Amino acid sequence: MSPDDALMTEVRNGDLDKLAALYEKYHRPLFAYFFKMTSNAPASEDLVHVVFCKVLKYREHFRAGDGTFAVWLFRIAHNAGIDHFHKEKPFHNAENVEDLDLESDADPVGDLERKEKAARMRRALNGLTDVQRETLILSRYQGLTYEEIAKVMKCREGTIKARVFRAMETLRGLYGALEKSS
Amino acid sequence: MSDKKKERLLAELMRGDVLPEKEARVKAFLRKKGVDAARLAEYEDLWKTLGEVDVPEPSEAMHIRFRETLEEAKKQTWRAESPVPAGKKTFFGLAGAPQWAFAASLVVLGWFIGFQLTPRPERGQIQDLNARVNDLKTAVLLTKLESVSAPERMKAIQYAEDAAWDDPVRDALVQTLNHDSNPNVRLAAMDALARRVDRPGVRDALLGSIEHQDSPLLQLALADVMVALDEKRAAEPFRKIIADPEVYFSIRRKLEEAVAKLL
Repeated sequence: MSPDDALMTEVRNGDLDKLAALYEKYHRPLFAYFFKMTSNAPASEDLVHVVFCKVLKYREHFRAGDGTFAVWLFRIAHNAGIDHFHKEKPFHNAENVEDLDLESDADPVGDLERKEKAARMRRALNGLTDVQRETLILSRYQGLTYEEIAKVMKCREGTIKARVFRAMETLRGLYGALEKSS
Repeated sequence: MSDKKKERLLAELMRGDVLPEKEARVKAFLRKKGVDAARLAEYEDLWKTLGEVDVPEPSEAMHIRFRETLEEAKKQTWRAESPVPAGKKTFFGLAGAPQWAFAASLVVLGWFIGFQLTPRPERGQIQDLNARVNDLKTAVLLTKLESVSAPERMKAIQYAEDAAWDDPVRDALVQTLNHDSNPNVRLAAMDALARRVDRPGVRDALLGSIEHQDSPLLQLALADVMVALDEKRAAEPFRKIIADPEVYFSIRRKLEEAVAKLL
């Protein structure tokens, strides 16, 4: 049993304090997942909160043998995201992500170039379908294997790989077009 | 079929899931399928740029919200685990078949001892009988506090409300308060002790337990008790907790309020 699974098992058995350790480890990856999906920091914070409320509510349903805690957590996040999408369409309307005050490098020229590329990528990501974007975000950032992502999104591993490929193809076109127009 | 294979292999290549010894073969296959070296480099560059998309830091408000939700959940769990609902209170505050069996055995034992002491129940003998029954109740309480089941330990603590209050009971509750693995059980022990704060040693035991508590739930509950008792000596151990940089902001704020009230 992984350390995270052991902690969640203790939470399930009544030691709720152990959830604080899991929150410390996972709040940022979850926030990043939602932020990359929504480009909306307050909505992403709300969604992280919803996920941990659901973890508390459904803690007795956690079974370490059914998969890792991370898979269970992102499955909850995936469902919370779907609920949010249904209520809040269109999804990318909250704030201009280019205006976000993100960390900067010591090298101002390199920093500017990197920021421009990242801004282009954010815009290109927003051009993908929700399913393509989510598959790519889970594949690229969350440290989950394709098999685990398939469990999160309730489909076959082969489907995930095909989605990644098609998302990369679409992204290549969108990113290239943005690069030419800038 | 081969397109599916191409998609699968490209997805695996992006993530670095392809074994180094197989990489050249995979790339050769992809070239045959129209993914030349330039296209592959383009994918790799895109994949790298994807990793450079920054994310802002979540706000402190999100953390405070989580901690407050967690504290509320713990309080609800504690209430839910409180063993006997008022309407179902039974003999010695116990419910369930094993407890009834125990209660019945006490009656039989009492009758047997009483029988041995007849024909005339003199005052001293009755007192002796009561003392034996109390000893038995204390022994059961202490045994149940050793149970591996948290709900059983919670029941034992409630049982302490009815048991004769003596040093072993007090010490067992203090031990539970300071060392039980379950914070809800520790909270129940604290409540039981706080109700007997007029008894010798209890006030000091509560005071001494502050430094043992790493659960915010217990820290806040003890702060409430200390403020209610106006126990000024508690300010110092609470200051030590406040000085810990890992203490949650909302907990620190509440402990600072408690210290201010104590001084």
